[in-house]
Amino acid sequence: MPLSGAFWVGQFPGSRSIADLELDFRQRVQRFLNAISSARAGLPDARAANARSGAPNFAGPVVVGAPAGAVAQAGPAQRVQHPHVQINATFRPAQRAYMMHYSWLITRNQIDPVHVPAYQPIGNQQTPVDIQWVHRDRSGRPDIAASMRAALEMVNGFQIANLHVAPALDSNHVHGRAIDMTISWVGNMEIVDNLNQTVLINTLPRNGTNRRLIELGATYQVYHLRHVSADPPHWSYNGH
Amino acid sequence: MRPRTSLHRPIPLTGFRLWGAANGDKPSRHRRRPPWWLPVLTVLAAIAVGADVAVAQEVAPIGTYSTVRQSGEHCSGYSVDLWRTAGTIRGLFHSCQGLAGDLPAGLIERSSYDEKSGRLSFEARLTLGNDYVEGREVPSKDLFTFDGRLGAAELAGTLKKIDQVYDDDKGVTERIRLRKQRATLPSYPSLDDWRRQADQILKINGPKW
Repeated sequence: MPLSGAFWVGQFPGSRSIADLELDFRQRVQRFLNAISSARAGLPDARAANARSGAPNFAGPVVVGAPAGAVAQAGPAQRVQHPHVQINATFRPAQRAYMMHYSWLITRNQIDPVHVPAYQPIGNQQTPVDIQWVHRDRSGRPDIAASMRAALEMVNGFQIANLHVAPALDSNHVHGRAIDMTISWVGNMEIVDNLNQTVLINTLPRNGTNRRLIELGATYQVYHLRHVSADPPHWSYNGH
Repeated sequence: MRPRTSLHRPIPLTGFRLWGAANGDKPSRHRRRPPWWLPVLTVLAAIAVGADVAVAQEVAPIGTYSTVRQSGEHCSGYSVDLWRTAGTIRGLFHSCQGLAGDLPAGLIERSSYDEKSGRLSFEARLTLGNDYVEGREVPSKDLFTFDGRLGAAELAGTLKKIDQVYDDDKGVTERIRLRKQRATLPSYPSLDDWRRQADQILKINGPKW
């Protein structure tokens, strides 16, 4: 059984690809992302345009109501842009979460290496983590200092040394049911929801925490974290 | 008699006092001249020793400066690990926009540091994630440019980020203030040792471009 140490940092790597999401959630995310990446951004401010032309200033209807494809045309000089989407994290294997969690606890003296439990498989992630947390001296007695040093190598490799709380053992990311992504656009945006309705988003902020975008994501059953400002890039299958 | 090539020509000892006669010394017929290869060897040895000194120059930590905040299992912000060696700044730049841990990292490049004023500028190439472009996932090409001042307690300045995957990305510029962290960085006996540890991090979390 290999001893703990830097070697383990390269094992069970995390993913930023939607291909590693759980199948059902992946399909929802794919539809949502396709809608975002084909949305038309950079549109002029309709309220300002209406105000200039004397038309009544609409008080914020979200749904334009036109079927997809029948949206207003951009002006001749206007270049249609698409929102930018960057996926920062999707799947963290349960084995990696386990190694992060316990290496952090060891270096903070919150658990004795001798007492670290074996990896408990989560879902279909059955591959064991054959890690030996306890280093021993020549006489076979636990060498706590060496065990701590090895755990520190892992903490530095995982880049979790400055965290205030141990990385979670279990979460939606561990089950492939969450995605962290930054979304941004310029101007106003027209985007199609899962009911094939075109939605105008002309409110701020122009990023993934926009309330209307969050409502639109829900039509695809991709839910932003309920406490929006706590984790701005976090979307999941259930809003947690 | 075979003509001597330049390789076999005795090297003048002008400037060398190893075996040559000093002013006032009587030249001696019995005094041995140094072999022709000795000065060559001496020069080569000096070069080799110099190179060893450069490689073995200690890489001393300056510190970690960070704005990274953790909320639940996520984090946000930036972190810079800085070292000093041979009058230059070395380091790693990290950015967190998602899950805590496994932070995307990039080598500090094109750095310029004025010790008197504390002015520091550098670039760092990172891959923060996968860009979703026309139904495909493409590793992002995030270029960070920093210009500011390095102080004992903080690193403050302007940070510009642009994702070069998108032709129309105008970039985002922000003022940042990174506080020096208590945790100390390790020092390394040589630049090679430092590079090895940096490569370990970059292999997993480094730029894909």
